[in-house]
Amino acid sequence: MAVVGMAGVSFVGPREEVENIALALLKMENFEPMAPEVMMDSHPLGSRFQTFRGNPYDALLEKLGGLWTKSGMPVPQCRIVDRVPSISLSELERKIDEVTKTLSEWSVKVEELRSEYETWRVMLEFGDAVRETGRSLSDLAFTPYGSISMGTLTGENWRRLKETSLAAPILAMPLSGEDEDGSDKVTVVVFYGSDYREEIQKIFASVHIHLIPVEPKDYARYDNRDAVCYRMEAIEAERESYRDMPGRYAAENRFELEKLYEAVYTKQRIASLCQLRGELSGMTVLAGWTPQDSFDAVRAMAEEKAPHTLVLAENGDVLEREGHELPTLLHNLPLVRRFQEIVRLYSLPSYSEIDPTFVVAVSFCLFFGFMFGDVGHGAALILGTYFLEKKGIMGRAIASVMKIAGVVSVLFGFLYGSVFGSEELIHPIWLSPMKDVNKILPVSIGIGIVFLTLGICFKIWNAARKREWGEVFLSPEGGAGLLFYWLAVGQALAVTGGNLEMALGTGVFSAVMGLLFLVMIFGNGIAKLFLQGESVDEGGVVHVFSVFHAMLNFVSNTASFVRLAAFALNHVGLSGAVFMLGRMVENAPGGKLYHAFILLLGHLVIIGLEGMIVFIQTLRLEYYEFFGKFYRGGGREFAPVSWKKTAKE
Amino acid sequence: MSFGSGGARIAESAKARVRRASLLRNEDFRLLLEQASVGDIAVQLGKSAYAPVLKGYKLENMRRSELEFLLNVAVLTEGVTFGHYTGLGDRRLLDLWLEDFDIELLKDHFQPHMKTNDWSDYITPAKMLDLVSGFRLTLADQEKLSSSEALKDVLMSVKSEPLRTALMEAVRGKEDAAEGRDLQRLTFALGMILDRYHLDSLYAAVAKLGGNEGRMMRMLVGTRVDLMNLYWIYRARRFFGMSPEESLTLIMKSRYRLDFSLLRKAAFADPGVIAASLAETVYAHVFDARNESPALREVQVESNIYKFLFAAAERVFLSGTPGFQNVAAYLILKELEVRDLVAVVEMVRYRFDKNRAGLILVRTLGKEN
Repeated sequence: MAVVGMAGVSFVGPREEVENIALALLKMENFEPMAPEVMMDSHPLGSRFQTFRGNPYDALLEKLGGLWTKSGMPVPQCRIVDRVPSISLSELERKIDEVTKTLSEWSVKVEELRSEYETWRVMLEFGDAVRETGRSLSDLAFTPYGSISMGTLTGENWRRLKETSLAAPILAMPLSGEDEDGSDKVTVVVFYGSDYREEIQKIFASVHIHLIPVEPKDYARYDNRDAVCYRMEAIEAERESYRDMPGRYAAENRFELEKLYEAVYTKQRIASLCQLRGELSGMTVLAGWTPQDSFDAVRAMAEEKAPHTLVLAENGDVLEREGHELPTLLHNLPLVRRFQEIVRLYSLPSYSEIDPTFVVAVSFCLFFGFMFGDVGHGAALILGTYFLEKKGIMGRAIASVMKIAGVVSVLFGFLYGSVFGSEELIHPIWLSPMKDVNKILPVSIGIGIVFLTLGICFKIWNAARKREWGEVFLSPEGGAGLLFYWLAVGQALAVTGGNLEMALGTGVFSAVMGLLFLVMIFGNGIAKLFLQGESVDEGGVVHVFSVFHAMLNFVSNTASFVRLAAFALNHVGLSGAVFMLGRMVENAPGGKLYHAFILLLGHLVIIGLEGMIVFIQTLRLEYYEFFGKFYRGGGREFAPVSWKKTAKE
Repeated sequence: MSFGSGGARIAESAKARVRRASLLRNEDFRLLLEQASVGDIAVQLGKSAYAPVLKGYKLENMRRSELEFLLNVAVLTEGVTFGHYTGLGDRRLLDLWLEDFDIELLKDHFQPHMKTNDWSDYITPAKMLDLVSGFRLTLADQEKLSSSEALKDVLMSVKSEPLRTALMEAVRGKEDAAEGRDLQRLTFALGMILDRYHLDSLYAAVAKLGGNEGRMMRMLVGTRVDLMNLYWIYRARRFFGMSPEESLTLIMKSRYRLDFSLLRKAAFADPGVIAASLAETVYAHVFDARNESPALREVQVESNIYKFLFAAAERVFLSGTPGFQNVAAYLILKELEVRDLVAVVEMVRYRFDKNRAGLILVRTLGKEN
C-alpha cells in the first residue's frame, strides 16, 4: 500500500563471478541496473574505473533471429539456463557468420532466379504485344535505325518517363501495371533511335528503371510462347526449391541452431543487465536498484554464487537525499493493484511521494457507484466489459477497473432500490435518489469535505517527509489552510442548521479564521523568521493571490462534489425518460415492438454514454479535486531486467 | 466551418501575426553582420527570439554547424507550437508542412553511410537526432533512424511505403556507391525523391482546400513548386550538364502556374537565357541575374527565388482572412529569416565581403549595404 523502499547495490568482483550474479538476478527479476558512478562517486574507487555502455550481443541476436525468420521457423523460446555459456563473443560471431553465409548463398540464388523469371515474364508480355500486331519478336531483332529497351519501374517513375517522352525523341509504352497505384510496378517498352542510345541511358538512370538485359539479336529465343511459359514454370519451380532450402537447413540443424540461439540469448540478457557496468583492473563493477526487502536475498545469492565479489549497499532514502532519482515500485493489495492504472494514467508517484492508489480504489468505487447506482445497468456494464475485453477492444487493466465499477454499481443499485432505472421493483435499502434529494445532496457534499481533507492531509504528509515545515503549518494547503477550511465548514453547518448564535454570536469562529487567514498571508514572513528563511510560496503579491486562489478553491472543490448527487438524479431521470418514450409508442401499430426497441436502445445509451460520462466525472474528481491538492507524480517506474526481453528492448 | 474550427483558425492566425512581429529587424541583422565570430553571433541571438533553442549551450564557443542546426530547429519548435491551436484538418497540414524538417534530417543521415569524412566542422546526424529527440518525426521512425547503421536502415526508417519503395528503387544496384561521383549522384537522386514527395504531398493537400484559404495556400505552395521545378531544371542544365530531356525527369508532378509546355520551353532554352523563355510568366525576373561575376549571378538567382517566396508570404498578411495560410506564411518568413541568419554566420565565419550582403540575403537591408 505504498511506494516500495529501494536499496542501491553494487557488486565488485571478477567478471565471471559478476556474470553469474547477473544470471541469477535475471531469474530474480528484481534488479534495475544503474550507472556505477551513482553509488561509487564517494567511494575511493569511484573515480578510477572505466565505464561501458551498450550491448554487443544485440546485433548478434537480431541477426540470428533474422535467420530463423528467413528459414520460416519460429524464433525459439529460450528457457532460463543455470550456467553462463563459456563461449566468447568472437566465437559466436564466427558461428553466426558461417550460418549467414550458407543461407545467403541460397538467397543470392533465389534473387538470381527471380531476376531471370522477371526477364522471361517481360519478354512474354512484349512478345504478346508484338504478336497482337501480327508480327513476331524476330522481326524486331534487326532494326538498323531503332533500338528497343524494356524494363520495370514504379508508377511514379513511369509518370515521369511518360512526361519526358513528350519532349524527347522516344516512344514509351506500358506493357502492364499502368493503372495500378504508385507503389506497384509498371512494365514498359521504350523505342528510340540508335543515335539516342547514350542520352536515353541517362534518362533511364534518372527514372530508376530496372532494364531487362536482352539484346535484340536474342529476341528469337522468346518467339515461341509455349516455350517461354514452360521456361518460366521451370524457373519458378527451381526458385521454390531454393526458397525451401533455409527451412530444410534449419530443420536438419535445429538442435545446433537452438543451442547457438540459447547461448547468444543468454549472453545478450546478461550483457543487458550489465549494460551500465564499470571495469577496474580486471574487476567488473555492476550497480543497480533493488527493493529493500529483497536485498537480503540478493546478498545471500551473491555470497553463494560469487564468493570473491564485494557487495556494497546503500539505503535508497540516503541516495535520494543526495539528489539521485530513484525508481518507483508500487506495492498494493491484489484488488487495489488494479487501480494503479488509474494513478499511472495521471502520472506515477515519485519515489518520495505518498502512493494514493488505496484511496483512489476506495473513492473510485464510491463515486462511480454513487453516480451510477443501478442493479441492472451495473450488471450489464460487467457483461459489456467482459465482452469488450474478450474481443481485445478494451485493455485488461481498464477492464478490471470497469468490472469492479460494475460490481459497485450493482451494490449501490440495491442501496437505491434501482433496477434498470425503475425504483418500483425492489425496496431501497438506503434511499431513493429521486425521492430523497434533500438527503443525497448533503451526503455528496460531506463526501467532498472528507475527500478534500484527506488530500490536504496527504499534502501535509508529503511536506513533512521533506521537512518543509513552512508548507506543513503555514501554507493555504497545509495545517493553517486545513483548520481554516474546517472552521468554514463548521460555520456553514451552523448557518444551514439554523444555529446562528453559534455561527456568528460569539465571534470566536470569525476571529480564529481571521487569524488563520493572516497567518497564511504572512506565511512567507513567518517562515523566514522562524524556519531558517524557508519560503512557503513565491513572495509578495503572487503569494497573496495564491492564498485567495486557495480559498476560492476550497469553495469550488467542495461544490464540485454536488455532481455525485446530480448524476445519481440524472441516472433516474434519464431512465424515466426512456420508459416514458417507450410508453408513448406502445399504442401505435406494432407498438410493443417499438416499445421494446426504445427500451433496448435507451438503456444501451444509458450504459454506454452515461457510463462513460460518469467514468470521466469520477476521474475528474480524483485527478482535479484530490490529486490537485497534493500530488506531483513524475516518477519513473522500476524496470528490472528479466530473462524475457521486453517489447521496449 | 464549425464554430470550434472557426475559433481555432482565428487563434492560429492571431498567433501567426503576433509571431511575425517578433521576427528580427534590419538593425538586428546589421548588428549581427558586425560581429567578429560565430560565437559572438550566437551570443547576440541568445538575447533574441532564438533564446529558447540556444538555452543551455556555451554560446561563445559555439560551432557554425551546431548554430545553424539549432536555428533550423527554431523553425520546427515554432511550427510545433501552432499545433496547440489548430483543428484536426489544419493539424494534418501543419504536420505535412513540418515534414520538411524530417526530409532534411533524412538527407543528413544519407551522408555518414556514404562517406567517411572528418566531422569536426559538422554536426553528426546522431547529435542532430539527439537535439530533436523531444519532437515527433512524422515521416521517419525516430528510433529506427537513430539506430541506423547502413543506408538501407535509414531507408527502412521511412514510414511511407510508396516513398520507401521509391528510395529503395533508386538505391538498387548502387549499394556500393561510397565515394566520388557515384556517391554524389546517389545522394542527389535520393534527395530529389524526398523533395518531390514532400512538395507533391503538400500541394495535393492544399489543392483540396476551398475559399480564400485554399487560394492563398495554393499560391504559397504552388509558387514554391513552380520555382523549384524551374530551379531544378536550371541547375541540372547548368551544373550537371544534363540534356533538356533528362532535366525534365527531375520535376514534380504538381503544377501551379507553369504547365509542362512552359517547363519544357525552359528546359530546352539555353540555361544562360532561361529568363527569356519565361518572359510570359511571373518568374522571368527571378532568373534574370545580371551580375558581372558568374558565381555571383548564381547566388543572385537563388536569392531571387527566396525573395519571390518572401513576397508571396508577405502578401498573405495583407489579407485579413483567418486560416492556415497565415501559419504557413509565417513559417515561410521564419524559414527565410533562418536562411538569412545562416548566410550571415557563413559571411562572418568565412570573412565574406559584407557589402555583398544585399545580394545574398533575402531581406533588403537598406542603403548601407
